[in-house]
Amino acid sequence: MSDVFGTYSKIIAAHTVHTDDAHGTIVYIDRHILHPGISAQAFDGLRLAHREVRRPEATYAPHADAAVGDPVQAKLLDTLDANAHEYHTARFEPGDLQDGLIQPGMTVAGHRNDVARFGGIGAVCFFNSVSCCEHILATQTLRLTLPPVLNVRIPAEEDLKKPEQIVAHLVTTHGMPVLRTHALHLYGDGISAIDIHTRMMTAEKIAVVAPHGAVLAIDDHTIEWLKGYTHAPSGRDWPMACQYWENL
Amino acid sequence: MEKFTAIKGIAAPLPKDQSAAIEILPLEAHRTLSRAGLGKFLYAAQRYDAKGRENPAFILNQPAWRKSAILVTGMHFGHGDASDHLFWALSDFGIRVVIAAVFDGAFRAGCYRHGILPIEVSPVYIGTLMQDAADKKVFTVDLEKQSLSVDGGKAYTFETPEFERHCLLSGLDDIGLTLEHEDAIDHFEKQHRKEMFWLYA
Repeated sequence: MSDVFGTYSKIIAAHTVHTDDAHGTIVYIDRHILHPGISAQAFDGLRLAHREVRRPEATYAPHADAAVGDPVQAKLLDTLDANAHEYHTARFEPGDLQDGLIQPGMTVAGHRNDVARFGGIGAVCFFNSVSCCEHILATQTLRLTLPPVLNVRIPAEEDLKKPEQIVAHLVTTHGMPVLRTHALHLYGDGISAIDIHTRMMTAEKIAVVAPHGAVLAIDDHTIEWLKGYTHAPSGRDWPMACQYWENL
Repeated sequence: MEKFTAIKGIAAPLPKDQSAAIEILPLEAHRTLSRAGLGKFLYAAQRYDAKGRENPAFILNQPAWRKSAILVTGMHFGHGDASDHLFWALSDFGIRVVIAAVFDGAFRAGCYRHGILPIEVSPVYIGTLMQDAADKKVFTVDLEKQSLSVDGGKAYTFETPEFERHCLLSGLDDIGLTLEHEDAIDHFEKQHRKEMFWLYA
């Protein structure tokens, strides 16, 4: 499994549609998680340009109730609801994303708060702006200048067991300018030694300081964790998916 | 995105250097759900009084310039966090060309992405243009020839990177540009579905 070539680079390679030095790389997005605050403008743009959603079944809108007494939030959720109906997107319930909807080796786009933690299970996550959201709706891809990848081996040490310790370690060993400009891939004994929940928290915390986010190496714990979740691959799909993950 | 053809009309002079993005488009405009109608927020702090009434002295409220498609402005127009909203607001107002002495990279890139042409002219020339705009002279901007002339006078030539010029002339936005590779996306999706079929279950 994960080696110095890096899970991040391998996942990107498996999702590259087209590369062009001048205009960036077109990367295919497996799951697009919509966010009420961003998607309204994106759907608006789609409508203005008479475009359709390319893969509504891979586009997920949350089913959620607004906090009582928050009219702005209620309006945003209503708008997203109406857009989801009009464009026949898939829906998800709170908690579903962790129910195998997002899997290792996927490319996922969404709001940082919703998706960043899935770097912890070995998914490459992109954090959307309005224009990214609209671009994915119309093309199921992002066109990016890919950031350089920083592969970091995390040793199994007592003081590198908590998310904040790992983040502090990255900041002190590599510095903020590097973290801000690179996509991170963390691997090694230190990652194998922490549970999935801690890995997800780690990815989430790294994304706060590193805008390209982090992918943590996939191992047996990741696969064991995913197994049996409602939306995880099942039946004959499972061993094939395992084979893909083991090569990342 | 609308194709960029020759633009002819009276230009609005905004003789100010260092207009920050947030000054041009206030924060409240970023909280709306629709991008249509954002134009009314442009320069809101100067265009309206505390009760929301128009300030008749402000240039964009004066009859001659209410429908200007061209802005003439100072250095570093739109510096800082130039959000998509800023360009939507400019487009919604009807602005297709911004002329300035110096643009910041992010603002320039945002213009191209949203179908607005940024024209950088020498600081010496900007004063003349500012006066021409105030005198309500007719500006003609021709992207095909990359020329700018005032009242049919001598043409000033400007430069636009070839690729951005192509996108503006063909009305290609970011999505349109990617969709030029739609065959590649179709092909990828077919293979991906075959190899990673569980993602499509």
